[in-house]
Amino acid sequence: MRIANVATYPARQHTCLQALRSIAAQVDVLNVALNEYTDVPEAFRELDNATFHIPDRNLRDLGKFCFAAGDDDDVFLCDDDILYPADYVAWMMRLRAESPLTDPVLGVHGVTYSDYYDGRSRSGRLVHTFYLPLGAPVQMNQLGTGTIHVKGRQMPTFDYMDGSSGFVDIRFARHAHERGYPMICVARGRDWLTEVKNEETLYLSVTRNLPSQALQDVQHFGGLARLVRP
Amino acid sequence: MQRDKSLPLELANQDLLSCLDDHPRYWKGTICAGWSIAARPSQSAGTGPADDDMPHALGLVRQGDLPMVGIDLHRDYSWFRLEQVLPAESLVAGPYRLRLSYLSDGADKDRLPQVKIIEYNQAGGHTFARIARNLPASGTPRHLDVEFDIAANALADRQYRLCIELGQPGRFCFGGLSLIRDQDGLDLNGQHVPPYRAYHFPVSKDLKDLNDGMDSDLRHGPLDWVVRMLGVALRLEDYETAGGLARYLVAHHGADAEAMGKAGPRILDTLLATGDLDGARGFLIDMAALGVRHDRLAQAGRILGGTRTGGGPVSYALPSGKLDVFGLNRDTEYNRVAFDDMLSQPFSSDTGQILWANYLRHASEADYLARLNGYLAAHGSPFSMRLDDAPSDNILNRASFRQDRPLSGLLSGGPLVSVIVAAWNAESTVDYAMRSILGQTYRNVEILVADDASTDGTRDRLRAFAGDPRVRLFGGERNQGAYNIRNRLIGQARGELITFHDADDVALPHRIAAQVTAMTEKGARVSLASWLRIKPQGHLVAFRDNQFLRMCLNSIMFTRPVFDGFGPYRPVLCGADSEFYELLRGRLPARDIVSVAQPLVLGLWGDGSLTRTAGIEADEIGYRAPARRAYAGLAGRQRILGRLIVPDALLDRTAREGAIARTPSDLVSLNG
Repeated sequence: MRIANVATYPARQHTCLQALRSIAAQVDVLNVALNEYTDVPEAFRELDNATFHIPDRNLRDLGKFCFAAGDDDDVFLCDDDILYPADYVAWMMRLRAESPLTDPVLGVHGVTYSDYYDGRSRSGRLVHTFYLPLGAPVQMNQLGTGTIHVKGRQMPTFDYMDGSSGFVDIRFARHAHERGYPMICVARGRDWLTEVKNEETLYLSVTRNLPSQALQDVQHFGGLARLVRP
Repeated sequence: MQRDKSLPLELANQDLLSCLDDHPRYWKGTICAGWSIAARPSQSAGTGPADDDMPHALGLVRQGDLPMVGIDLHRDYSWFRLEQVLPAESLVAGPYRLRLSYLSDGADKDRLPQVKIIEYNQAGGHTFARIARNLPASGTPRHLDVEFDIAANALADRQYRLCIELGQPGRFCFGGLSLIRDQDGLDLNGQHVPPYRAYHFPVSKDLKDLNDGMDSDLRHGPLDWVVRMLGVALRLEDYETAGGLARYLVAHHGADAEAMGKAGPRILDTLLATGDLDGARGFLIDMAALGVRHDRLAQAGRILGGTRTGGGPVSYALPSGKLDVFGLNRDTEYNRVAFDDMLSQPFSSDTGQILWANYLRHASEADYLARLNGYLAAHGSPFSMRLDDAPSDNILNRASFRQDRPLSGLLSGGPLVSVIVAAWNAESTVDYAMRSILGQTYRNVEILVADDASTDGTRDRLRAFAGDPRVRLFGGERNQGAYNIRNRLIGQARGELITFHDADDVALPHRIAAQVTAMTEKGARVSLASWLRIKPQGHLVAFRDNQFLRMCLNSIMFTRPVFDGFGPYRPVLCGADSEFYELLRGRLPARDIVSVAQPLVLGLWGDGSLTRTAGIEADEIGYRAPARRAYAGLAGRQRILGRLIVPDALLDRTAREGAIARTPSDLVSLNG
């Protein structure tokens, strides 16, 4: 089964529908965590294959990790501000099937950290942004959890992710490193994925206020030294 | 001992404002509590009566609701400073913010006001931190809000003043002055400054370049970037990271001869440090197949190749033409070098003395001593070594020194030096170690020596020194390691200067004098001696950098405020001295640390030495035991990235897991 997980909140209500439609059309089930909602918005009810979950606290980006999946399910972690092309799910599944790697994690937005990363956003990071082209697949330290494809058995538990709100990409990358899952940023053309413009994005609030716990997590998996295992 | 970093430092101009009224006043020196004026008139300034009478005026100026301190300079000054004394105990390294509202009508753009912190000692002042330069002229209140870093903790024996510096004639008004230490917290807009960006560690520049250029450099070919980063990891003794980078380089560039020409030596260093000798041999074979030639690779080939058998004259020349001192010296240890081979080697006179000493040791003790003493003399030692005839399996037990030349430097009248000795199961060495300190030419010393719960006769040996009034004996019931003992005994020490001596080393008689003299002459706060490592049978040890004479961290000597500012040592079994020294090297101005490049200590390089203790050993080839590597790597990472990113708890856990953590415990006086 193909499953997509996404989290959203009321401020995105009018801009996210386009993003949700773009991924819902490609999967069997779209799981939507509705942070800060008290009910499912009427506009969302058009998504026939969607299941909605209203958490009892604002999980923010953690919301996409509160859904169950079977071991062999194809799970897509998505963002509510990215437009996924029509071939996204099929192409990612094909890449995974053809990969010679064991249990790879595939993604479109990748980050490799300096071996001595100090927390700056414009220093000590190599970023392959999802809307820019990449000529060949590259192994990286971290993939953005808005563009990830894994098998259900590769998903971390919610308990593992809990506490990482605001830096779920980092915590997920730590999980992948600890389990030995190589994180591969896939090759693509320019604007294969595109962004829905919003006033305030989680990215901005996260990267400007990265907590010390997030940086301590990066020390576990970040750096080129960690890309090749002994 | 850690300073309270949560204490905000806020300075206000209220004291100054409250003592001013609407009438200008003329001040020299102290204005009010904490505030003062210092000035140096310009040589070109006028000297008319008006200037002499009122070169400046100071008063309260109101700009709307904002009260400001107004300064009118009526003449030209080289500098005119309004200064506020800062509490040194609150001025610690880290990020700060200065806020200030000001008005200024200075016309000369080259001499605009500036704000800085000046450190004063007995010899004068120098800039400790630049905060803001060239404040532009403004006719309406301008609000300055500037972040800056203080690179080193303030020291208790210095005075620090926040200084607003003016020069050209005109009016400058300021108000709303505050200096605030930013609280610990990570704000990626630059408020958090990791130590490597704030201080001058040996890796600081490289790492800043690497991090700031990473995105661009890696897109344009990662080889140079990775090789440089590997160099950073090796300098930090972070062999886990170095190992990963080495694997990355081999995986991506292992078949590229040019790339391996750059990366090969560092990859090899990593393999040797981690004890992967099979990997090192395989790597050398691959490099040979690629045609990569390098001194360090050739030298390692000799190390890993085993005993040479048969053949003609042996060359110890490296590909660059330099001599493989390390390889030759190892062969002299095992008497594997023919006399005519020795004759044919291109020694420098300096290194040659030791190589010949090691060679001749097998034939004649007198010749050995003659060469060793030649080396000592060439390095300015007024003493030569003698060996008595008493049988011993440790040459240092037979060593004594004779003065051949006049002494120089401080012998008396200098500060009291507290020498701290930690002794654990050192019954066979502590006698000569203690005698060598008691026999120092510098007489104003006290020795604090602790038996670290030895299971042999060490404590009884130490009691034999109890009659000397300079010796204070201590003992503990639980083994706690040398660094905990240092921390404890520094609290008991009376000396203005503090240093250490190992219980199996010999200090040459002028060691303390040389270090105190160097510190006095240079005005330094830290000194280090150099040492030769010597095996029990007398063989002098060279390391893979082809050097015999090395800096001796055990001999570090410092003023007490240095320890108050940067101590204590970590409660671990190994590596804490290099961690402490690297901290000082990064955070203190270079002029505060002086190294005495003379052999002042003979350090025993035997199996009982701490560095050779199984489980935490390091050797001359570069090997570091896993527990030592794990701890040193993390300590290096914390040193440059700070405690927020690498917390102390992680180091503590690593030390415990490596069985090198030691719990501090009490010491009691044994002097009776």
